[in-house]
Parts: sequence; structure tokens; C-alpha cells
Amino acid sequence: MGCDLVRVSAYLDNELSETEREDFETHARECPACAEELQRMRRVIAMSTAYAPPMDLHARVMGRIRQDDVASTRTERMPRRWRVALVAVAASLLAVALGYLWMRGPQQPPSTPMAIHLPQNQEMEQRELAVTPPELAVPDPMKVAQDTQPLEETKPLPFTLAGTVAGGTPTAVLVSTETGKQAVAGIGTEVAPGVFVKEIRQGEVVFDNNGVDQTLTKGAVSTPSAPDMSGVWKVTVKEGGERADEFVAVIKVEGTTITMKPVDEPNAEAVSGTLTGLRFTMARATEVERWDIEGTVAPDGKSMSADAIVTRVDGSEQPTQYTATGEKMDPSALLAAAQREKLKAQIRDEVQAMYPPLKSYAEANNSVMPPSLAALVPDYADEAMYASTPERRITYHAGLSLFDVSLHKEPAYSDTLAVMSQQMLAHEQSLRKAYGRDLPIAPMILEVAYPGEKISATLTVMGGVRVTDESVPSAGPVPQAAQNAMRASDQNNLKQLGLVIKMYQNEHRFECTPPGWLTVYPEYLTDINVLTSPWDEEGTLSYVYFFPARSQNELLEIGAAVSGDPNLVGVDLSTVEIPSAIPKLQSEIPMVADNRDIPGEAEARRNILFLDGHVENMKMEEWETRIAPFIGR
Amino acid sequence: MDGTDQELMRAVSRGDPKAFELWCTKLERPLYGYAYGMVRNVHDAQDIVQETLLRVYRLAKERRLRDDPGSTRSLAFGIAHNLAVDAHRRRRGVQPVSEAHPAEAYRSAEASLVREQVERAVQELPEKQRAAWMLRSYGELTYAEIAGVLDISLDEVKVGIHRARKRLATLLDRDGQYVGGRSHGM
Repeated sequence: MGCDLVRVSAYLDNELSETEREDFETHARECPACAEELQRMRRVIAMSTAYAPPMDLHARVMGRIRQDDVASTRTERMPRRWRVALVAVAASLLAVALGYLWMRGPQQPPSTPMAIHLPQNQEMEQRELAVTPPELAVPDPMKVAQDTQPLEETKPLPFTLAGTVAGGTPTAVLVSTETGKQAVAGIGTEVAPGVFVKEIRQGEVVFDNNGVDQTLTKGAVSTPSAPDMSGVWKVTVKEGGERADEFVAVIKVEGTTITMKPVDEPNAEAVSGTLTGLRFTMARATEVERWDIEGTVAPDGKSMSADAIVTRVDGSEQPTQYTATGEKMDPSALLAAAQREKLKAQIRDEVQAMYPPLKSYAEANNSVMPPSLAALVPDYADEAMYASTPERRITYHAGLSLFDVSLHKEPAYSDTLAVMSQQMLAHEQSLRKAYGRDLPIAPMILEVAYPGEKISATLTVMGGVRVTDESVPSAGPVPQAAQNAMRASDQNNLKQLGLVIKMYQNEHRFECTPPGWLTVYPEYLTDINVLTSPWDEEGTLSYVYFFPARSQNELLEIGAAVSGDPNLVGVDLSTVEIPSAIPKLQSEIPMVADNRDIPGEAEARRNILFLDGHVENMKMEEWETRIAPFIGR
Repeated sequence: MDGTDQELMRAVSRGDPKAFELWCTKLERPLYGYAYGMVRNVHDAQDIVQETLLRVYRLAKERRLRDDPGSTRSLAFGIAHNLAVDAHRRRRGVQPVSEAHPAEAYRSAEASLVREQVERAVQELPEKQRAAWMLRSYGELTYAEIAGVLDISLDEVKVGIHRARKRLATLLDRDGQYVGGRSHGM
């Protein structure tokens, strides 16, 4: 009867081709055996469900992977002599400024700026920039340009003359200096853009090179004049095709002498060598190793490439070969970037200054931050300090405590406050030490937006300031697929935070939500990176947590009050059975949300986690009605 | 295999850590389901998932992955399969292989019973059939991917899975779970 029961499984698994599927469906309608087999297999499939993994599996997997990452970075061999550490270009702007001064040479005695100590890290650097008088922070790049040699007007000819043939139609044999290929040219031939053969004599050709006469003699190599290499260069070093280092260096050319110096090593000896035509060679020897660099610069003087061989003096290791490429940096862009950094540093200081009054208030008030900024005036600060103006807009998040623990109002709980806050501080310090950087754990108390400058800053309860530059353009529009993936990963973060809150609630007195992320790390929140959305840089706390240290019942009461449902308001929800209302309320109480709009969306949207654990991608139009009523309660 | 998967896989094969994490969230569940089904031990299953994803991550970092989602999934399950076989071998004779999975609170007692019976019945399947069936039911792989993991032909996969299901139906009927009449079984 043409029954092939094996097809049943393949059909159910969607493994038949379209025609096979149609065939089977037609057949199964008439064949009771196949129809029954279909039913049977469906039931078996429904019964075969897999066990769900333990909740912390993802965190464990990622933890293991990160551990491996850390281990492998430590053992990765970094080139020793190009530089010790990777330098972010933006981070070395002050150094660039110093580099300019170095490049301009001794005719401009470097007074004040040289007295500035070389910054040890980015944060210090920004502070230094802020205190440096503007005219000293970055020298005028136009002045720098004047100090350098102008480019020669006439471009060198890209070939040599192999010989001439006299006769009725005199011809010249030219050899390309780039490819080595020969070409025959007569009078009037255009041999290069704008270059025509004008006259052919015995062993000599006269060209019209863009309106200028130029003579090429047989055998004479037309030496291309050295392009202007002087300036600030961004150099990328590769070893075996892998990017090994990136740094900013100042290159100075005087006559045929070329000197290069990485800007963040102002005390190191410069590498020097000679520049002939488009080729340069440089060498530097230290006690242990010697490096030889050979490269060429592009005729426009804006890019270069080089090979470097590093040899151990004692011959203990095989020479290492690196390749490097360089790009000349645009002085005006550098200046603009330096000014931008300076502005950001000023904003950082401004926001940093907002912390001490808040802290003093909290210290005097059981560690709890003021209910509103107005409470600080006049005892702790004057009005102007926190005033929102057209230039800056301040948003304050009330209800947080100094130690990321606004503990439950229950008396027994607040008795332990002093002990706990000490423990929290110690915990935070040890984490910071272990991670070697700030953790995105402390919630923010203040957000300051500078709309005109497209800069925003946040201040955390621990006194940390983070400045975000919103003018930095993303590298083109994000592809839709990547955008979807990012949105999904953000929602996944929120879902995990939902689990953290649920787990903590289940195990704590009064079913309290966690006082803050610091409290639950690493016991419940095993992976700290969950706190950072995919579009924020590492170490950013990307989410607002609305209800720290609140009991389930209190949250439901808030929900009932906001909902305005007369059946719920004023009712003790923990004792009264309202089976349908409670799940509904839970799905309406917001817990955690993106702290800014999802970038790249057509309309303003954020992902929101609700008390019941579901995550919603919500239009900001709805924020006012659905989320705002809960904030500040 | 939609465009998102392709895009994601391209990012994974470039060694992008965020993309890899996202990919992991998609794969952990089926991988764990399969690993647990094979070794029936929570700790071993977790270790297998960890080790598998770590190995794939290393390959991704070395740019040795292709950006085809199916082949990477096969690769992951291939690694997990080998690890599971190893773990199974190590455990044999040391302690009873079977260890009850911690109860899942949200499941009804009835559902748990069915699952237990399926588990037991699965253990009675011949090895190849069992692996193919698990890769399909727990690992959610396509037939082609299963063929890749177990290094058998597509037809063997097709027949193996069907036979496994038929046998399960019979075993479950025997255990009192109604699956369907026995007239067409076996």
C-alpha cells in the first residue's frame, strides 16, 4: 500500500522536501495506518522533553570563558620594544600636545607644559588637561604646520630613461620605477597624468610635467623628493597578521634625518634614521636588543608602511618580525578632540563637586540620600549647585543610601545598618581590587545632561562619575540583524536580573528585593557583565533599578495605589485573596529599565523588566503613563 | 536558519565575545538537554556544556570557525557527544550512572512521571539510535546536523530516529502511558 512509516518521523521533524511532504500528506489522508502512526509519533514527541539546565549554567559558562580569556591575555606575547602597553589614541591627547612641543624643537622653549608630569592613567590625564591653561594644553597646529617644510611643487617622474632612438619618429624607452615595465613613448605621448613627452634628444628626454619643463637623462634615476613626513602619526603594529600594538608617535624630518618618538614615552630616546626619497630606515639599539626598521612613505606623505626586525643582542631568541602601518593624523581633528576632552574633564569636575554635599547629608541621616535635592539647601549646598538650567538638566534618583543599601524599614533590619554598610564598603573595595577597575555595581543618584554639548554625566552613590560623549558617531548605521541581536541580548540581561531579584526575594526576610547589585554579587548575580547593555562600554551600569530593598507586599501596595483600582487601594494584599489581581499587578510594576533609549531605533524605546519577570520593549510615549507614576515612591 | 542567525554566526566566527555570549544563550539549553540525557548526571552535564562552549570559543578566537550556523552547531554537539561518551565511560563502574535530576518545582507530578518513564525507556535503546534520538529531541538538531555529529548517513539518521520513537512508544505503552494502539507497533 506504499506505506513508508519512516516518513512519518521525517515529516514531523520537518525533514521532507516540499514534494515529499505533499505526497505524504495526500497519502496519510487515505491511509489509516499512516494516520495512526502520525498520532502515535506526535504523542511520543510531546512526551520527550529535555531537562532544563540549572539557572546558573549561563553564568558558569561565561565565567569559565572569561577566565580563559584572562589567562590567555596574560600569556600572549606583546612586542616589547614598540611599546609596553596598548595606547588608546584618545587617551594620549595631552601627550600628543607635549609631542608637538617636542617636534617644534628647542626654538620654542617649553616652559610650563613640560613641567606637567606625564599622566599615569586616563583619569589623571583628564584632570591635568582641565588645570592646564588652554593655550598651553594644545599648541596651535597651524603654527606647527608653518614650522615644517612645504611640499615641492613638481611631482617626481615615476620612471627612468633606458634609451632613445633617433630617426624620423624619435622614440624614448622608459622604465617604470614601480613596476619595472618598459614603455615606448613618442613626442606628445602622455606618460603619466599631466606629463607629456616634449622633446627627444640623444640620451635625453624633455617632459612637460604639468606645465613645467623637466629633463630626464639616460641612466639618471629620478629621485622623488621626500614628502613631508613631519607630524603626528597613528601607528599600528602587527605580528604575523595579528594586531600587536597601536600607538601615537611624532615624526620629525630635518634634511634626510628622520626621528620618531612615541608620544607617551617622552623620556625615551627617539628612534632615528635616514629618509631617502620615499624610503626610510631607522635603527635603535638598547642593551638587550636591536631593532631595524625599513619602510616607505606614500608620495602624499600621509601614510606609510614598514617592516621591523627585532634581534636579541645575546642571540638568545630568534629575531621577531613586525609589520607596521601608519597614518598621519589631522592636526585640526586632534585639536578638536583635545578640546572635547577638556570640556569633558570640566564636566566631570562639575559633577564630582555635586557629591560631597550629598554624602554629608547621608552621613547625617542614617546613610540615606536626601528625598529631593531641595533638601540639601541651604545646610549642605547653595541652590545654584543642583539647579537645572537650559545648559544642563539634572535628574535625581531618590531613595538610595550611601552604601547601596536602603534597608528595609523593619527596625530589626536597620539596627544592622552600620555593620552592613561597613561590610558593603569592604566588599566593594575587594571587588574593585580584584577587577582592577570600577564595577558597574553602584547605582546612580544623579544624571546630568548637557544637551547642547551632547554630553551626559552620571554620579553614583559611591561618588564615581562617568561621562558619556553622545556626539561620538557610531560607525554607520547598525545592520538590522545586529540591532536585533543587541536588543535581544539587552532583554536577556534584564531577564537575568529578574531571576536575580526573584532568587534573592525567595531567600530573604520579608521577601525583600535586593538592596542593590553590590549586595547580590557574586552570590546571586554571578556575571557582572549582565549589568551592561550591549551598546554600552564595558563597566557601565546600563540599568535603572526602581525598587531596591522593598518587600513584595510593599511593591504590591505601590502597584495597587498606582493602579487606582478601588478594590485594591488600602487592602492588605498579603492577607486578602484576590487571585486575579495579584498576577496582573505584578505584571505592571516596573523593576529595572534601560537607563537610556535603545540606540538605532526609529522611535524612542527602552526595555523594561516587570516584577513578574517579563521584559517589554516599550515605546517611550508610554513611559509617562506606565512607568513614571511608580518612580519616586 | 534566518538572517539573524547568519549575521550572529559571522560575528561569532570573527571572535566577537558579545555575539558569542548571545550564541551561547541559544545553545546552552539544547546542549545541556543532550548532555544530561547522555550522562544522566547534573554535574557532568554542566561540565560538558562548559567545556564544549569553551572549546568552540577558543576556535572562534583563532578564527577557525566557519560562519555557517549549522556547521558550528554540529561542531558543538560533536564535541559534547565525545565528552559525553568519555564521561559515560569514566563513570561506568564507579557509581550508578543514573542520578535523579533535581525536581523542577513548576512541573506537575504527572509530567515528572512521564519524563522519568521516557528516561528509563530511552536507556533501553541501542546506542546509535539513542544518540540520534537525543540529538533530535533534546539537541533540536536537523537530520543533516545529526548525520554530521554521529558520522552516519542521512538515511541511517532517518531510520534510527523513527525506530527509536517506535520503540519508545511501545515501551511507554508497556509502562501504562497511553501512546496508541499496539497493533502497528514493532
